[in-house]
Order: sequence, then C-alpha cells, then structure tokens
Amino acid sequence: MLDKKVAQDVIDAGLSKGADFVDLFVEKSVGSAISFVDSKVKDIKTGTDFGIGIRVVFGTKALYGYTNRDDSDELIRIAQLLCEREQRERIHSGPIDFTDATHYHVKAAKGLDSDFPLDEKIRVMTHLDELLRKNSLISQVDIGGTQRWQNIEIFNSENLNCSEERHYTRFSTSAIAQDGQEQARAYAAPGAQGGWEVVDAINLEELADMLAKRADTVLHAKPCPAGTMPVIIEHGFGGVIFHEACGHLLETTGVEKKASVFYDKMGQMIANPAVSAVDDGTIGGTWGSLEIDDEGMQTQKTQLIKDGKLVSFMVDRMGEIKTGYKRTGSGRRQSYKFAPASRMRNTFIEPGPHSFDDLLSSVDKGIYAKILGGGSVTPGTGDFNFAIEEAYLIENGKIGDAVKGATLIGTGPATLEKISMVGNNFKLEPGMCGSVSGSIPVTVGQPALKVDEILVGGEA
Amino acid sequence: MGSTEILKKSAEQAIDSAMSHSIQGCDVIAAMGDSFSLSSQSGEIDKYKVSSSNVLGIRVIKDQKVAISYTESLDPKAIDQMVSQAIQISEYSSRDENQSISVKNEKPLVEDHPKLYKEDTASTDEKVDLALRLESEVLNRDKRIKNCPYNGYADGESRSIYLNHLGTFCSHKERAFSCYTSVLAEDDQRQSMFSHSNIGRSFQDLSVEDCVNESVKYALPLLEGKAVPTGKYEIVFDIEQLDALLGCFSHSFSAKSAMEGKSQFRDRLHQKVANPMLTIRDLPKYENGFYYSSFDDEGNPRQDTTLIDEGVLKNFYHNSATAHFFNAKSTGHAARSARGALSVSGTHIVIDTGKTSEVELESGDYIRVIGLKGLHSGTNGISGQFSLALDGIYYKNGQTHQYVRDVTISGNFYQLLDQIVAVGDTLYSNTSQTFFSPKIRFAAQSIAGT
Repeated sequence: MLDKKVAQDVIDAGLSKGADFVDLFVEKSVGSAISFVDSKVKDIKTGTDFGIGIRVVFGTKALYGYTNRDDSDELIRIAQLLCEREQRERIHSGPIDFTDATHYHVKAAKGLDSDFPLDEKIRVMTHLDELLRKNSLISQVDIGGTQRWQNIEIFNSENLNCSEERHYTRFSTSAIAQDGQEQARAYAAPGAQGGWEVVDAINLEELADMLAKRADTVLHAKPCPAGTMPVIIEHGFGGVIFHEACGHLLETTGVEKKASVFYDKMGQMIANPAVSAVDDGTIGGTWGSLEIDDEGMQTQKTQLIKDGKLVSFMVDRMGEIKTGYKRTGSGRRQSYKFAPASRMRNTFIEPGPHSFDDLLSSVDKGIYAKILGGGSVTPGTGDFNFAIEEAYLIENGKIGDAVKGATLIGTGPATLEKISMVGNNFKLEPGMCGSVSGSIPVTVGQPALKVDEILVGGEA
Repeated sequence: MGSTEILKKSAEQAIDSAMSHSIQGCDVIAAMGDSFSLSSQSGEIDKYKVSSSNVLGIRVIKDQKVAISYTESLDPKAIDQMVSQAIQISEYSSRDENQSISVKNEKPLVEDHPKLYKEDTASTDEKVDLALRLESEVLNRDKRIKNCPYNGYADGESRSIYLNHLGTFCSHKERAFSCYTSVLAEDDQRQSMFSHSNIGRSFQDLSVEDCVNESVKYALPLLEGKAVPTGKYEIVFDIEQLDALLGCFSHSFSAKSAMEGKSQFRDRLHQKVANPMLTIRDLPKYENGFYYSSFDDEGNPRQDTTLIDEGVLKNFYHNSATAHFFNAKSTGHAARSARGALSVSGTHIVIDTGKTSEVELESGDYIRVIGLKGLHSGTNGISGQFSLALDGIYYKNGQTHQYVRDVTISGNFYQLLDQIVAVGDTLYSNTSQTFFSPKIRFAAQSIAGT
C-alpha cells in the first residue's frame, strides 16, 4: 500500500535523528454496517479508513504520530516532529532493505472484496426478525450486520516488511420483550474472521429461540439476593471474567508500569492448581486470531498459567524493552490511530475433568451465572465487577428460579484461588476489548467453573 | 486555503456529485483535527503522540431511502467513490418516511465563540513539565503511594462543517486541553486506586494541584475502607457519579429510542415519571457549560429543552426525523458524525436546585458514593436495572463513620427517579462542566457487603 522507497525515507528520517527503532503501520480498512430495526433496513453505512502510524523509539520512550496522507513530505515531517526533543547522533548505520516482503491473507468467500449482494444479507435479517416476532412478548428486534476488510502493512528499521489482509464479520441481535411498562433485553453477537459465510453458518431458528426465551426469562425474573456465595459460571462468555480480572493484569502494558498486581509474580502460584490458562492467536478463523500481530511478529499460542503457576505475560515490543520478557506476538491496536500495546487474542481457561452436573451438585445455595454481560477491572488493584445477564438460583444442587440485577465483584487474585472445580464443556465466544490501543476483536472462553465464594450484588 | 475552506470545498464537490444522480437531497459532515498528547513514567516522558486527521461523510436520500458513506481521504477521486457507494447502497435501504433534509438557512452559521476556541500559547516544554509534575507530585505526597501508573496531558483542535444541498452551511471550531493522573496506594497488602482529570479551553485552565489533590484525597483513606453489612442505605452520589449513572440511562429521553420502542418513557409524555422535587433541563447554551453549541448536526438551531418538570415528563430529545414521527417539533438535538447515521444526543444537563440546606441533606445516616465501577456493563438501559461496585463514605449522624469498598449498589433507574428524599439548594458542576446538579439524597438502596 505504501511505496517502499517512501517507507525507507521515513524510517531513515527517524534513524538519522538517532532513534533506536522506527516502524510504520499502514492501514486501509473498508467497513460496512447494516442496521435492521422495526422489521426494516434502518440504515446502511459504508466507508474507507486510510492512514499511516509512525512510531519512533528512543530507549524506553515510544513516540507516535499518524496522518491520513501518504506522501513522503508529510510522513517525514511527522517523523522529524516526533524526534525533535530526543534527537542525538545516529546509532543505526546499516541500510534499510525491504526486499523480503511477506504477505498473509485470511480467506473470505463473501468478504467486502467480493460481489456478494446486499439483498442476500438483508434477506437473512428479515428472516431472523420474523422468527423472533413469532413470540408475542417480543416488542422490538434490532439486528446489525457489520463487516470489516482490513489491510495492514508494516515496515520497520529491522528490514521487516509484511502485510496481512483480515476479514471480520459480526452479526448482532437484540430482542426486547415487553410486559406492560416492563422491558427486558436479550443480546447475542456471534462473529468470526471471514466474510458473510460466517452468518450463513448461524442456525437462525436456534438463535431466535434462544434470544426469545432469554428475554422472557429476564423479564419475569425476580431480584437477585445479595451476599457472598458460591457461583457457577457457565462456559463460553463466562470467560470474560478471566479476561477482565486476570487477562488484563498479564499484559505488559500494565506490568511494565507495575500497575498490575501480578507484575512481580512470575513463576509463582497465582491461581488454584485446577486452573491453566492460555492466550492463543493461532486458532484458525476465530475472532481474535491473527497471522501477524500489529508489530509484524507472527502470532503464537502463549501459556499464561499452568496448573496455577504464572508462566508468561503477553508481551509486545515496548513491553520487551521495559520488562525484559520475550515478545509473544501480542502487539495489537484498533487502527493506525493507536500505537500498539500488549493485548489479548483468544484467551481462555483450559478444560478440566468435571461434568456440569458435578459442579452443580456441589453447591447447596448459590448462583448459576448462565450468561455474563460485560465487566471491568482496575488493573492496579485487581478489583473487578461483572454484570450477569441471565442468572438462576442454585438450591440443593438444582437450578432454581431466574434472578435479575446480579453483579459479581471481587479481585482477580483472590478469585483465581477460589476456582475449585473446572468443567469439561469448553466454548469460545467473540467480543470487543477496549484498552489503551483502542477497541480490538478478542475471544473469551472457558469451561464451566465453580468459584467457591464471591460477592454477588443484588437486592438486600 | 484554511482548513474550513478545504472542508467546504470537498463537501461542495460531494454534494454536486451526489445531486447529479437525481436524488432528493443530501448533506455532508466533515471534520479536520490535530492532536498532541504525552504521558510520563519514572520521571521521564514515555509516550508522545501527534496526529492530524480528516474525515468526510455524506448522507444521501434517494426515493426516500437513506444511505451513509464516508472517506478519510479528501482527494477528489476518493470523494467521488464515496458518493457512488452511497448512491449504490441507498437502493437496498427501506423507505424512511421520517428522514428529510430540509433546513434552509440563508446565512452561514459560524461558531467561533471564544468560549470554544482560544489560541494555544503554551510551549511544548510547558506541556512536558506539566506531565512530569503530575507524576512527581503524586509520588511525593505520601509514602503509601507506590505508583502513578496513568498520567498524561493532551490537547486538540478540531474544525467541523455541515453543508446540505439547500446551501445551509454551518461551521464549528474548538480547542480543548486536558490532563489526568492516578494514584495507586498500598498499605499492608491492601491496594487502592483513584484518578482525576481536568479539562479546559486553555492550557492555563489545567491545574496540576487540583488533579493531584483529588486523586490523593480518596485513594489514601480507601486503603482503610471495608464493606458495610448487607442492607438498605440512603444514598448521596457525588456529582461525577450522579452524572455517570444518569448518563447510562440518558437514552430514556431520546425520541429515537422511544420511536424504536427502546425507552420505557415512550408512552408517558406529560405523565409523572419522577419525584416532584426533580426538574431536569437540557441547556445547549448554558453560560458555564463546556459544550456551548448553537446548532445541531442538521443545521437546526438548538433549543433549551425541559425534559422533566417537577416530576412530569415534558419532552424528548428530537431531531427532524423523530419530530416527524411524533408530530412534534425538533428540539435541535440532532446528532450525526461523519461516519454515522442520524441520531439524537443531549448537551448540558442542568437539574434545578431544591429547598433543602446542605446541612440538613447531609445529616443522619447515609452512604456518599465517591466512585462507581462497571457502569458500561452493570446497567441495563432497557430494564433500568443497575448493579455496580461502589466506593464511598458511610456517615452516621452526619459524621464520617468509615470508608466503604468491596460492596455493590443495586436498584432501578426508573424507580430511583421517584425515590428522592431531598434536593439540595446549591448547584455543582462535574469536572467537564457538562452536568450541573445540586446534591440529591435518595431513599434507601440495596447495598451488598458483608
């Protein structure tokens, strides 16, 4: 996308000012979004983003700039502006050579680079809307089909030149159930790398049935009791709790600032021995996978926790410079507007030996968190909170009444130690993760887990 | 050519190109901006960022069907391609009887109010010094402060224009400055973290001292914080927290949400929805507000709008499409970015003061909420349910009894509006000067603790 000579000149402009390292991130992304509300197409949006990010590194300092223009004058101006306060004698003396370029391409049969017709996409949405509205309680359906075709190219002062073409497709649906003035919402948003064939693979009848039942359940649920109790967290999106409460604390973005409670715990037991966890960018077609990270390093599978022991962080280039831990292909960013940072890819707790019934029968009184909503964590303290979208009481080892308004709060380290049973029913779910380098596609996952004790927020 | 002129010329090209396709109408929103930011770590600047960017987006209405397309490149070829895409995809939209592009202003509306745009007189060295001081002054305050993990300075300038096929032209420019810092304190294996930010229209509006004081003020006593017993407690939210909580449910006042059946207020206009002590207004030109704005993203003049008057729902935020649907008048709250579809949004929220003195309002037993966590996930905009982690101070007989943490507060927004015990007689502003409210004491809410 960017002329190699221009890339060489810009990188040399940084190196001539004494920079240790310079890289360019060139991005062209085409996006499309169809919004289907009130049983009709509400709007269709499309657009193209193009820009170039320039990073210049002096020691442990990362200086970053970006522009929408690709002419060498503008790019060199930004590189020189970034170096203005740090410039020194040139250190890097070798020639910049981009002869060996590598291109990676994720296949998409019905991506935005194909002629797949819009009316076919609308037909799928119309069908799902009809299926959901068969349930008399459903008062509104909001469907969104979003696709992104992202082309990136990376050049750096270590003679790296590589590019990747990525396709993403996500299909979100909100079903609102209404009874008098009361409303409740059920939401699902399956997604994966690929084109519209990702949507073709969804069983719309099952999706509609699941959403209508969940909206109905939540609408008529009673308030959740409050207090400390055991909780069984269901597989799949339940993994968001590990993502937020622990995953973010294992990114060197926080570790390098000592803003993670785990920054000095490498090699130590930080979880119950029942817990092993992984961040894996190599799972083909999965929402959070990559061929290369946004610094041009090939992605990999990174074992984070093994039998309770911390064995690796997720490390990007600046994380390696600042902490000394080897890079793990974890440098990611939303777009050229963000400098890369160590981020998660597909992050999950590995399956264990227990059946779901084993977990359930071990609880006399507690909560079954079937579908978790989102959550957040304070990295420095590990304090987290998560909403439960669909929850039930557990009484004498059986699933009881549905409850609403439940939140889980605790700290990551304490909760990791209280995961006493790990199920064997593993599942991954896509999501968007927001952090210092923007909002990126990630996958969360886990088997069902039993946490012996956690504070549940609800009605006192 | 200045940036506004470049944007206008590009917008004119897009509109001329679109109108040649026999469409009903179109409008363009375009923006250009520059930004600068930096942060420090261990006494040195560790991140330094500069940027320049532009974007231009068109909304096309053809055969009463709406399509939106945008480009980040302003070269003529990219603009023509964007227009072609918009025309092409409009065929697939459903007919939308509510949207139209009809604002026709004879004179350009140029918003260059000095409240919004001041020259940047600070040098880069002064900005670097500010970022370094944010970190060093936090670390020097107390030996229990172990780290200042997040701190930084940012400024940015943006210019945006609106142009439609009827010739209505509006332009807006603004510059903003901000800084933030955080405190990570530790004592006996207990950690607490608190952060604070400043925002202003000039570099001189920023105060390192205020940022540091506010961050330290709660981080240290929260080290001693603990859960209260599970039960019901009367609540007073700090202004920032009240703003954050109400903000999660602001769509309730959106006519667009009501139109789409996503607001419980939809059929309750002119009915009682809150305690009679509550009056909420949206005042776009509020004298002390940060987001002073005289026109919306359809080129309509903005209007002061009373949302709730003494507990009665009086109006929604309207754009021209929602106004058409409800047979109402636009309130000048249309919102559209270059990349986005037509929506609505509020400006400055102002809650009327009440009659209760602060001494009276802060008497007896209650929890003052100084921090809420998980707002994006622990609130359900449809049902009104919220369940959030809370940091606070528990007062007994009006005196500080203990700092509170590791608890949750749960309730329902729609019920909370009616559960008001007292409204204070003094008006406060949030840090960003977009939310103005007296202190409000709410009836007992569920707190889950020990």
